[in-house]
Amino acid sequence: MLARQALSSLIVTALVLAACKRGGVDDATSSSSGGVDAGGFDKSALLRAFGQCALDTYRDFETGAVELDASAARAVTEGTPAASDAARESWKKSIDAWQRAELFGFGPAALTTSPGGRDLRDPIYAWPLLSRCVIDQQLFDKVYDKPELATALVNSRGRGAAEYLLFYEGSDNACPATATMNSSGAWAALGAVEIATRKRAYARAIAADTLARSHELVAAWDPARGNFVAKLASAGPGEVFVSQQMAFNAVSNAFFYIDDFVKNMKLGKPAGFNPGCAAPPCIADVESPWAHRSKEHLKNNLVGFDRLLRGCQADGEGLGWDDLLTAVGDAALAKKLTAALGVSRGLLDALKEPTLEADLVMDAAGVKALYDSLRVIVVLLKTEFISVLDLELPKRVEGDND
Amino acid sequence: MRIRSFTKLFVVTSLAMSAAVAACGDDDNYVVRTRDGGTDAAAESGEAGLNALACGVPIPASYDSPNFAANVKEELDLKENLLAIGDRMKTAEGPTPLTVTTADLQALFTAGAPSLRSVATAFAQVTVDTYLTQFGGAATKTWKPEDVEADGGADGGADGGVPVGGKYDNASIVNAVGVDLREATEKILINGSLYNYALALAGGAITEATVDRLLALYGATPAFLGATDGGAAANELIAEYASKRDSKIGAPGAYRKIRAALLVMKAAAANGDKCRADFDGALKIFLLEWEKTSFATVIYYLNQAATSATVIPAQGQLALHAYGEALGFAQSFKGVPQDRRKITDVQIDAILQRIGATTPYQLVTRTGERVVAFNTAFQEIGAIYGMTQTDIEDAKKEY
Repeated sequence: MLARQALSSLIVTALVLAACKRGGVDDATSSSSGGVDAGGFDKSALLRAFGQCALDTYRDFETGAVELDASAARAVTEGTPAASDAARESWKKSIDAWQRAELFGFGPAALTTSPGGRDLRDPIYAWPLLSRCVIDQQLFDKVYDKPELATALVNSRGRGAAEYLLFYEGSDNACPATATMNSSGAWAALGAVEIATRKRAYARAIAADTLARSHELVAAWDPARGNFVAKLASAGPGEVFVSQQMAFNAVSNAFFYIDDFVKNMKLGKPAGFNPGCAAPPCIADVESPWAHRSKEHLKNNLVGFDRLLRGCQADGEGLGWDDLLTAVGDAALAKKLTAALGVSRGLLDALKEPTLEADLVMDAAGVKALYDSLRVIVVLLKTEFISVLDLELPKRVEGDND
Repeated sequence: MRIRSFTKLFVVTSLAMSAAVAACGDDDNYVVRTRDGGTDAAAESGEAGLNALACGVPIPASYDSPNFAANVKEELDLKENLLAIGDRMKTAEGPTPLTVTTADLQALFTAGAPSLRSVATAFAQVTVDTYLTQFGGAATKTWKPEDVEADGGADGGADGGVPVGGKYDNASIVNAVGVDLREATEKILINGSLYNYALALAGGAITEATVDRLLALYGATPAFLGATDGGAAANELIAEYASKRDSKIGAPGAYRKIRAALLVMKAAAANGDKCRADFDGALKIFLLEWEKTSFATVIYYLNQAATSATVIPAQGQLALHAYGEALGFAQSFKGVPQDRRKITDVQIDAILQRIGATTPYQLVTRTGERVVAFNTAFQEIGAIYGMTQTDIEDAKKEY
């Protein structure tokens, strides 16, 4: 038994090492070469489908951002518990849409060092970057009323900061006692009512800021404006993506969100399966500590993953990675990935506590099973998927021991 | 970040971007004049040679200077001494340090004719002297921001006594209040010495060799490709930062504007007084973009410092390291002749006060308020240079 496990490990390790070519989509020389032979399959159509799916997903978010902007404004003007509750519900709808969009971190949402990247993701949702102390300090200084908000650290704005401001009802702050606003007594002098009022105002400013950025993101993809859909589909010499393979690598890099973000940071770290949690479970490390939506976030991430894997239309219709895998003669891998995704979604649904925090405490075995199922997907991606499609392992996940 | 760190390959595909286009949109209307108006089409086709100065001289597509090496010997010596100071200071950092004394560093600061010190502003001379003295005193000690906070900002040691600074987290060497001495020293010298010396050269007789010397002080080479990969065409000094602040696509950023300006200056200088107006216009672009690059880089490093300070767990040493770079650049234009820069000493002092130049350790001990103050400083820098909110956001990026 041990020998078989060791052999399996060696095989997997060998496959990973074989697949660990130079990473990074911005290596034009490497990326412009070749690409896997898919016969008559229309790769441009697949890239276009990825792009259109990104646009549709961002439009969903934009719709939610409009609603949050309005409800956050009402919460300020009305100042009632009902208005605050409505803003919280809008935030939930909005973040659900964004969690589906998280898998589409290619093109304008990506870092400026990536092809077509415009850094549009982090100002909308910078997680895991979030600094409660900076938010509290800006609350104290009323930065939300100033132009500075637009250039504030991304860890103090966006949907993550909005969650804290909308859902956390305490009147303390996270800055040390040495902070002037604490040592001088100025924060305490504000009082709970004023702090709550400022939180609503700050959340409203963030809602407006992220609405503008959602417009910018949609405009960047919209065929009638920036038309990044066409830029992705028309990959080739002289284009943003100098080859189709470079474009596929960009989408693939985003696809690996399921590894470092979903499996490792969102689940593995709070559960203690990944570094950074000395005494599991580390409840404080869940993604959504104030709205307690971490489990919903995972579910929506898997929806986004499914859209890229099987297609963006209902029930997985439309072009996705599975069609390219089939075209290159590995329909079996497409089925394995689809099946593995189904297992993960089933295990996620099987976690019955109201929050992930509670599941981490009450159903550690269920959480471990979910983690292991995600690991199955990740191993398939890191070995067969990138090998069959001649893709490159993202630099950010190289060295991970899956 | 070391000045000589070359991590990215940026190949500028539009090698022959015209000077006229490069000057478009310049905030201060320092436009490179062309005889035919310098069409965008010509620029985009790479036919920069079709463009000409107002004096009728064609603008070359590339920077050719057969005597470059001979012309720029003094400037290369200054550069090597500047880099050597940083390299020497770096050997005292880390867990296995070498001994570095103030005298070692002063020797490099005063080496050569001219020396970095002799071409520096009075402010840079005094400040660098101070930093080098502090470095010698701190190199063998340890330092923690919490100790300074506990002592009310008066002392760098846990046991009280004379404030001296020391090694922070077994890495960089800071003074008593947390200034990363290597980074601050290097960045002050880039402008306090080299920019100041460039002004002296530009104020004298103008020949093609003068332009070569300005190019060398800027830190680029005649190959001039915008690369930071450590190859023959690599950028150093302020050119490295101009390259990093320039997106390489779309509207020209600092690096491409400076490149275009230097091509014009080269062509104009070769034709004497009849092209003097062209030269002067391009020189203004060259100097303004150099200055703007410095303060855009202040934004970049303050943002880096804030990010390191607020990440969980906080990375205090990295935060103060980046802060030192920002501080050095922010200080570096103090005392430079006012008619050759946009920012005033009063504005610099206001920025220094805003970012807590006398209490850098508070970035670690009072993170929230320092970080918020940085963001206010971004706005103030942006107002001085006419930057939009998008420009400020772009300054936080590295291309």
